[in-house]
Amino acid sequence: MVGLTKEVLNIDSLIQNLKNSNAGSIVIFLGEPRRSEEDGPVVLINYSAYEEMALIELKKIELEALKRNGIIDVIIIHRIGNVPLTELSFFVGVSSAHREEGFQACSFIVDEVKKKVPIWKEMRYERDRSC
Amino acid sequence: MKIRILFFAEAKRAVGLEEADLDFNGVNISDLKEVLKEQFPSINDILESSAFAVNKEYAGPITLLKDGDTVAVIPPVEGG
Repeated sequence: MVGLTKEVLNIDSLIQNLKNSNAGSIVIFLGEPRRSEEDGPVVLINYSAYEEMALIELKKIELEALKRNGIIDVIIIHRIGNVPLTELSFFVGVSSAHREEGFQACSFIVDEVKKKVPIWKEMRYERDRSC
Repeated sequence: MKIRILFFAEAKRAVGLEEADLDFNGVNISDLKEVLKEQFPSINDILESSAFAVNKEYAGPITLLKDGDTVAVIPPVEGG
């Protein structure tokens, strides 16, 4: 499953979706907005996307991951819109027969999303809020 | 031929448009890039670091264009 959402990520529900009696491992990566940036303190990140193409690229990455040995299920969800520092921006979950292929697939997915999926971020700083 | 151009992120901010329709007499993405540089000088630098997509698929400089194609200017992506 892949998706883009403006809603807060429900991690418990996503993990429930990854649970599978054939799996011995669920590996999760969570991305979150970072406070310190060179230009000053960030209060939130606005994510924008070429949504139709982003979903196509996410699906390709999901299918590539699912071709790997031992991978049972994959979930990739990215937030769009405003994401405050208190919330998560990115979820990757992989269920697999064994942990090692799960770690590798999760790392592969994160790298591929960062390289290929047309999503952009725009930092919003504390100084913008005070203007 | 008519080509629809989509601008995203810093390209959109630099041009001040989300999309534009062009009458294009070239052949491929490389030709289109030159036309975009002439028509939207504010994104010259951005075009050098951007990728392109034709009808939602990444495309290289020699990808051929046809009437009615939609070409997206894709600045370096920043998801994750």
